[in-house]
Amino acid sequence: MKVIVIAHAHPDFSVGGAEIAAYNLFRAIKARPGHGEAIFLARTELASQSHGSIMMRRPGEFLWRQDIGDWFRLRTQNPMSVMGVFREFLKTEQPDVIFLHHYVNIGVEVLREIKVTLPDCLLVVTLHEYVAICNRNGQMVKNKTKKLCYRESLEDCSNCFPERTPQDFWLRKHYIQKNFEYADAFVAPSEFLRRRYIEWGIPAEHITVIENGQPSSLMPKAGPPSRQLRTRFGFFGQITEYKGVEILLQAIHVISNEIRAKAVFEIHGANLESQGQWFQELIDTLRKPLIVEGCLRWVGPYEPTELAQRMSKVDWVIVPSIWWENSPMVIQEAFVNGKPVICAGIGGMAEKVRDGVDGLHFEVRNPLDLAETIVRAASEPGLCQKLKANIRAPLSLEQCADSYLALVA
Amino acid sequence: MTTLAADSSRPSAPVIRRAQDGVAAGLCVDRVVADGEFLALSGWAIGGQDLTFTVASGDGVSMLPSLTFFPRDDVAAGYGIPDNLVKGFLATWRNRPRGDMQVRLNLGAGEPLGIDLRVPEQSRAAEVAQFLTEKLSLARFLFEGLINSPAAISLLVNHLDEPPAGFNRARGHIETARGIEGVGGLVVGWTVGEPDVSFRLVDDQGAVVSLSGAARWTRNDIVEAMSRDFGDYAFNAGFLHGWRGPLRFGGSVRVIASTDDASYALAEIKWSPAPLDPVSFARWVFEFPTPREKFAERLTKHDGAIINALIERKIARRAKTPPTIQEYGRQAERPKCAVVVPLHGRHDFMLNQLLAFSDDADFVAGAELIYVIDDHRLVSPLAVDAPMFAASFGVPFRTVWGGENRGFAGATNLGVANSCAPFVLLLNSDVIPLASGWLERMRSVLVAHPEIGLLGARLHHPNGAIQHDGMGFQWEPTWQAYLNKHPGAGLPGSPSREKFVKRQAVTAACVLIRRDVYDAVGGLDEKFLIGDFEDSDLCLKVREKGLEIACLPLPVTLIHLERQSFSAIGTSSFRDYVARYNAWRHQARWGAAIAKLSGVDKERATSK
Repeated sequence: MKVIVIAHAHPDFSVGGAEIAAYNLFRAIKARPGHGEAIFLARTELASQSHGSIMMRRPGEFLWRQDIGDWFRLRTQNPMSVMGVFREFLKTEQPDVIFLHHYVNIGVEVLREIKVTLPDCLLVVTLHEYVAICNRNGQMVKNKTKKLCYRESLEDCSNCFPERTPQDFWLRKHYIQKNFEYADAFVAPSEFLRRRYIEWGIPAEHITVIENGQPSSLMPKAGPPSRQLRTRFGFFGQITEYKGVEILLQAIHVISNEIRAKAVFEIHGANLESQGQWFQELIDTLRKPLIVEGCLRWVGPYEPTELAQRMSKVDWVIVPSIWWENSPMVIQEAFVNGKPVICAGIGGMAEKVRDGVDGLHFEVRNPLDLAETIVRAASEPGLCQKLKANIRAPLSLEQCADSYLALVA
Repeated sequence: MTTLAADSSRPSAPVIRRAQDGVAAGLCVDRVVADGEFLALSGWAIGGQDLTFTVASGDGVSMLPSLTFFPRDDVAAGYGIPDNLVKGFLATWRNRPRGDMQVRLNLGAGEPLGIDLRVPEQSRAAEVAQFLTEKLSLARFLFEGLINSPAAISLLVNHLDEPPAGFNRARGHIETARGIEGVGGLVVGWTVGEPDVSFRLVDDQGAVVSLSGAARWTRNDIVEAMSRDFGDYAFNAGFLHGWRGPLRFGGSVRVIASTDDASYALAEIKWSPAPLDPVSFARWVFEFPTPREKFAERLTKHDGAIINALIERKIARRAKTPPTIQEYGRQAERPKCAVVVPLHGRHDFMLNQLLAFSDDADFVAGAELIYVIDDHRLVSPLAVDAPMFAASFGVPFRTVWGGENRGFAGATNLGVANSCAPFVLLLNSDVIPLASGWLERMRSVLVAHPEIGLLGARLHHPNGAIQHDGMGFQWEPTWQAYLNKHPGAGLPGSPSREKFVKRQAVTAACVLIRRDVYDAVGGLDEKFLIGDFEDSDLCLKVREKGLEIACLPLPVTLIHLERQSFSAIGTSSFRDYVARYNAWRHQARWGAAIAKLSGVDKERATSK
């Protein structure tokens, strides 16, 4: 069996969860003895490569210079490339199966192109985020007010984007769904996301939940309990207005000095400098006194290879995102490293972290509730060890690949 | 009896019958003026009951003039009798009697007084001028009499003064007078006055219209400024009057106020050009807020014919160059059915339509898909996108560009004219199919039922509610017209059925017709403004041919996003007036036929 994994980015140039998941899937299938051939095709924006072309990156791996031309209907910028070099690529490679990890930055038309060119090839599409459902970067967070959005509707979506009529949103949905009809199956990394897509219109039997795999070798052996001066809480990820760092900082401010003296908070993350001015100022105002006081360490960016090392030093991982998330990689990484997780109790986070079992939930966007949860984590004897003991090993890369291949067997 | 020379400035000496205590009766004609078709006599009478004017050379027929009386104190003083015994008179004819004339003053039991007049064929210009200027105070009567004598009116008006400082019975102003030479124009302004003051518009060529027929509305600015002096009369001051006669740029038009004894020119404005384009013209004239309930009347009296003339003018001037036709993809050799889709404002609907058509094998193989570009702004985007659309979706189509915006009807007709299939589906760009096979199914109905001339389809809103399931006509009293109604729209609708249902009419958003029938009825009527009512007009034309109208109650297959492409056109108020204009035009053509059709339907309903 010949498999092509298509992704919207290559991990050589981009380290988002979806492209890493796609690449891991490719490698896991490729490594499988006697399986056949596996190929990885990743969209790129490398300026050194000409628009629309497909070029080999290394044997079995290809880069496709492609982009979105119309983010509303998720249309490709370069349809002639879809019908040209991409079609030729498909005809040349003749895969039996294609795993498409995300159509963003490529264009939703590739689904139809694949099935029209190779009618017998099985096409499995992995859904990341809510891009097809929500015109607001696929976040299902209301435009301007940033309220959580519970369901799409033509009228609600038009309210978020008044320059677009409900009829425009019908056209968007029709165009995307019509292209989605060409997929043989969909994969959702979380049940929460699966539910959202079922409500949107994908028949339930067409979507299977397969969690992104994690390298299993990282799972550390349980060491002796640490004898620390303070309980360590860590945030790992991008510092954007959706990841909730400001909620965490506000929570630290409302914790009493007595408790704060027994804890330290570490922020490991990048990209604050590319956020809006107001957000940078907010973060700066909140963090300054805490850094001076000594309960906050602003560690900054890290390389993926440094993550395990950094995470190993904390007791708890906090995921305070203010949007639904899908299946945040940081939760899997925390579990791989044996750390219980404190997260907002909504969406993909609430699904992946079991409240009171292998982590704790707090009310999303509520600093006081997060503060109380942190206080509990820092002061309840044996809680951390108890939750840690319940952590289940995340799906391994091999198990993940098994699940994908089972879909097309 | 006395006979006078024809060109005498004093045509008759007085004829006097004396009584013992003075003058008992008298008659005098002191002026006779003839100018083209206009004839006027003036004079005075003492005593008597009525005056008659008889053409002597004819069969003795009495010719009824427009006759008015006024005081002649000078005559009373001359004869030493009380003022009230003498009546000056002015008799005018707008279509003059030919031949000499006998004027009689009937005296009841006594012998009448009579004067025989030789009526000149044409008075000297100076004489006419003198007559008119002497009679300025009677101008309001002369306006009526002189209506066919523009030169005389012009002369008269040129001698009218502005109102004197003490004149406070009327005010008025002209704000705009715009027109198109050879078509007509519109004069807009305001007048305020006591009810017995009459207002007229007079141009420098002597054409007159009475403002008694003007479309009027209340202007708050005039009420505010004028009600201190005029009270209630300040209401309904705004006026608008159509001008169907010839007009000349640089020439002027005046508003004249006339009382019983005086006429004054209140205001004057020069004609300026109005937009030649019918939509631009309508945009201008529909701004004047005449009452909506009288809009149809206003169109009939004032601007409806002008708009119609401009539409005809535009169609007549269309470039005769052939349309630009581009083929994309391999066209079907013997298409079964043309699908004609006009594009206006936006073309992204094509993405959804073509994507939907792409997996309908019958459609791809048998349809002759024609997108008619009806918008200058879309020409270039289509040239770029069309090849890519055809390649992406694998649906062959043609684009047809007629070089100008023709409106829905004109664009559709152009598309049909450039198709060759024996059936034609008229389709809006915002109708998107959700399934395959619907076109072939519609076609099979027309093939099997030659008695059906037009077959519409059930259309749905995005939420599945009915958008269109056939149309019916409904009388709208405030519009004074039958309107097209969509029964059941917005509701879930009856279950879909295999068989078609007969209807009064169907929408052109999606309608199938045989090409020969389309040609026989002349296609869609292009003379509606921007577009509206073409569909019911088409239905009524097809009915006239003795064919039936039907609708196919499909399950939720065709989504109609409705009116999306109109959003670019303008304010809803303008749209409302455009709809009213089209309803007015539709009513003029089809009102009687629809009334009959509705009556027929009533009979059917009661006989069940």
